Amino acid sequence: MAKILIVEDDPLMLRMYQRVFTLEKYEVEVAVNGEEGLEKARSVKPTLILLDIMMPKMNGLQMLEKLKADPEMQKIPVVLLTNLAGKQDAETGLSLGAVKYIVKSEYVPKRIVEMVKEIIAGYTRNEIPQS
Amino acid sequence: MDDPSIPVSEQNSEIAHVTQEMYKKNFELAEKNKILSLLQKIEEIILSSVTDIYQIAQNVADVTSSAAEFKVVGIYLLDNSSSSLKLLAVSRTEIGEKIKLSLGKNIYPEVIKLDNSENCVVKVVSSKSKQTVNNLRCILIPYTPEEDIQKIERIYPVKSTFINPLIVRERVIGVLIISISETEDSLSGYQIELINRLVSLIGIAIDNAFLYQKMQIVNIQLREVDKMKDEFFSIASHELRTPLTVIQGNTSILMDYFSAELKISSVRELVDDIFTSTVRLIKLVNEFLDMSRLEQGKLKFEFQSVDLPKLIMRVIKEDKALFDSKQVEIGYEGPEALNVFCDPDRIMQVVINLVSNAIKHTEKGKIIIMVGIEGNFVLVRVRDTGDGISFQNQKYLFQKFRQADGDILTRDSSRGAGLGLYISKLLLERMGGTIWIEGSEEGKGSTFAFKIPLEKAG
Repeated sequence: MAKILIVEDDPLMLRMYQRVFTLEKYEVEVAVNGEEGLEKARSVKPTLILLDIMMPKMNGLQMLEKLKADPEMQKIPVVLLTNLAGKQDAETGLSLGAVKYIVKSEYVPKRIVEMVKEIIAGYTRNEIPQS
Repeated sequence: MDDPSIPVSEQNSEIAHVTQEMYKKNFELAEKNKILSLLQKIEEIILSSVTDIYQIAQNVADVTSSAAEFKVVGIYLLDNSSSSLKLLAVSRTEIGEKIKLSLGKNIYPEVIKLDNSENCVVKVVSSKSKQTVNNLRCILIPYTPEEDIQKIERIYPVKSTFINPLIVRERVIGVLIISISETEDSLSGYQIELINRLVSLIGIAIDNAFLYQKMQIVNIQLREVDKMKDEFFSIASHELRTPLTVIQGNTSILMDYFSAELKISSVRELVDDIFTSTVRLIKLVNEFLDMSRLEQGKLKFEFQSVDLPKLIMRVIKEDKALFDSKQVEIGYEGPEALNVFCDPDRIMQVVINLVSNAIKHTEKGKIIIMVGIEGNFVLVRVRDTGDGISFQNQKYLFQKFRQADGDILTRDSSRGAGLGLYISKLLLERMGGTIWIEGSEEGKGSTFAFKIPLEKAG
């Protein structure tokens, strides 16, 4: 089963996404900031990364840049999680190589799982990335 | 004057007399001119772009001392909050600068306390009448040490000091002090008249500057309070959203993945109600945030070409669930495609607002959305056959926090915070459009309309 890395600093928000992806039988790894997220991405090689933007230590956009600069990880699809006010940053994220951004308050968790499913399906059809 | 019948000597004395009179008149005229030109200069200072009270006082003191040849002119402002007189300026004359250099401070005390009732400046303030003193000491004591007083006397032996209250609207606002090294009676008529006329004008100059300064301070404070309010608003809304999203998300997980556990209908109902309330709350918080960002001008718009009919059809499709429970039909009349120039998300917000308002207020009947062109604009009408709004309540429609009934007690909070149309109005205005109510009749329905610029050809 696909492995999802969720990088999110709010513990309850993190637990909620962890819960729904676990219920959907995904393997879930978590990190609470960009620094930790980068380490986890390197060690667990996730199928897809769900990445919050506003985080302490290293924010989502900084982590995204580092990810895309690393030949080993640059092919992992990244979906940005944002709040309504962060749309501008999310657009920046797209130009940095994220495949999609999702405004957290606009979709219930199940919908987010569905969107992630579609993205992974698309990627596996094209046989990227290898995990 | 060549009259031969009058002896030459008499003629001469006559001429001398006339000449003398002419000199006198000329002199008076020159003095009057000087007064006028000085008064004009002070008026110029009042009307100039300078608004700093110290700068104005300095300019007035300098002009006064140079025009009337008063060696030392000082201006005090009455500060009620500290019950004292504060020295605003001393004329920058040679003598004045010399004293400053020698004492390390101005000739007059920087601050004179009002409770120092023996001080003659304080006496002038409390009696509201001018005073002439021939000894500086009654001004300087107890602020200036004896050795400094002696230094002043050596540099500039003052014989007369004129202390004049500056009175504006019957209130003392400050004091004008002039010190000269001559006795009082050596002043020319011109100088005496000048002092008298100056005092009221200087009073106005200082009072104006003072009021302006006060106004500016209040203005800055108000702006700060306003900014704080805006910031509070957006931070509060922001911080509210994260926990709300978690409540909503977890409730939906309960509904989506634990339906077996929710078989008891009352439990299912509980969860449903939590979910519905959370959705409502998130919508409210979003509206608050939208409003505060719109009002602060912080909401960014991304203008592009938008096919309006297509967007309207999408809203109708998505809102279908909202009117399935009612006997309401929804229809569209207009072209199949028509491009406007605006932010697609924001125009969508306006359309959703109008359509959901129409649905909310219509129990059964028909809602029609009509699109047409009017000049350089696309005109959109949303007509319903619902409750309608009385004429006197229509004026509340686009106001913040107002629902059409306009009364806080009868407000129907299930209908939202009363921000929808207000936000729609702000959004449309930012996109070059307008919104209005075209007609409404109680019991028969309402028509709302808005205009948005057509996409420019080429």
